[in-house]
Amino acid sequence: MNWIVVPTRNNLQLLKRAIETFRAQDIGNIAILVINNGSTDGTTTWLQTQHDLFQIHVPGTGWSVAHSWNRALDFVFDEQHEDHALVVNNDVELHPWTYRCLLEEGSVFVTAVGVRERDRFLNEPIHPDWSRSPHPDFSCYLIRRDCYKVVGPFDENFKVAFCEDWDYHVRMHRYGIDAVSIDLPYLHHASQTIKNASNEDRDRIQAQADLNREYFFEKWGVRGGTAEYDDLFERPAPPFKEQTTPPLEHKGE
Amino acid sequence: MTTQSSHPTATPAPAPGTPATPLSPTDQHKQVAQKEAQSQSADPKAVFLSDGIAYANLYTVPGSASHNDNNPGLLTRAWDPSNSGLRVDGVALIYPDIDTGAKALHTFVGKILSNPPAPAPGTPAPHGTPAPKLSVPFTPDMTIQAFAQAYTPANADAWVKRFTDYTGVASDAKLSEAAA
Repeated sequence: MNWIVVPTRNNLQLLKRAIETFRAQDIGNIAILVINNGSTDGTTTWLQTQHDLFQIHVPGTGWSVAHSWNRALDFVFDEQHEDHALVVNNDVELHPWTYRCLLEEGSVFVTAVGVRERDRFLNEPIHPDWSRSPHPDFSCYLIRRDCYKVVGPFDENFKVAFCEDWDYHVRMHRYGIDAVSIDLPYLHHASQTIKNASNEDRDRIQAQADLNREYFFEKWGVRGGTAEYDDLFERPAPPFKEQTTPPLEHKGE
Repeated sequence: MTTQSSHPTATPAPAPGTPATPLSPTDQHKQVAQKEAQSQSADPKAVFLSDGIAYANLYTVPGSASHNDNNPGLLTRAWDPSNSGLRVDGVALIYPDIDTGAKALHTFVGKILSNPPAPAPGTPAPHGTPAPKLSVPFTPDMTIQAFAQAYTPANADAWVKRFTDYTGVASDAKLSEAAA
């Protein structure tokens, strides 16, 4: 089966739109796994009525992004014995050919490219040669078992959210895997989780994001998204050394 | 408040044009219950609920989807991942035989009963809570009515009537109480 993994926390209306575009993937034989991270906005009740969706319901504030991805990929690769999975945010909409094109591209890790404007999403011409870019977009990525088994799970020392994707990008490079995006747009209502979050949730996410950025800097010696970060991918991969000192965890007020 | 009565003797009318079957609907239903009772550890709570669900899903009516597909629980791939490789009829799995379908229903109900009750919104997970696994999205504290509205939203009222008629359980009883 062609698995699609989508962690979610609230934002039910966006999730509904996202799921509809997942169901419409023309590759067929789609299985959708929703990880419901303690939603409180009716998502849980709605999910109960969606009988085709595989579901994991996590109480409380839910799992971190890294933990959600790891548990889902463990399930797909180890329990379902599949070769690949498409991992997406809950605030995206995909063209029907997205999964098929990412799979046909053939890389062990490949992403589509998020656009914010619906017109651009709908009208962007399709490029059959898929021009590639070395800037993966972790809001919609296809990962194969070979990649996950070589690089390993996402670093769960990145609590809650943010920076786990930069870290995986660097680690893939260290293992000789060039993560790429192809010129295949998807609609991304970016950062809606934090924009629509309660004040308490927003504070929690932002506080931990700051700690995650510091952990990333400590681990790699550069800050994510900077020119120095980009330079990491211009150099030959140095010997790989995993960080052993996890960051502090934001405990809230 | 939950009450359990003896099962009613009335049987649902067979679908129009249904050929005669060697077993009466009641006998067929007993057969499902017996197979459920024989499966695994035969948790009587799960068997009781499974029996009511199968009846409410018209398993006893030849020609119904649950009967034709050997799927008395009308289970989907998402509710029975261990059999997700089977063919489907719409979204419902087609089991090779009633033994497999009845066992799957029993497992499904067992998962519901072993789920933790739904936490109040915003409630943090208690310390030491085991990591959730892939599961069915229903909880034992749902009432029969609430379960039906999620499980079969298109015809919840009729489903509840069949379930309550058969089991004698009130529609506002919780699943866990109905199984008690």
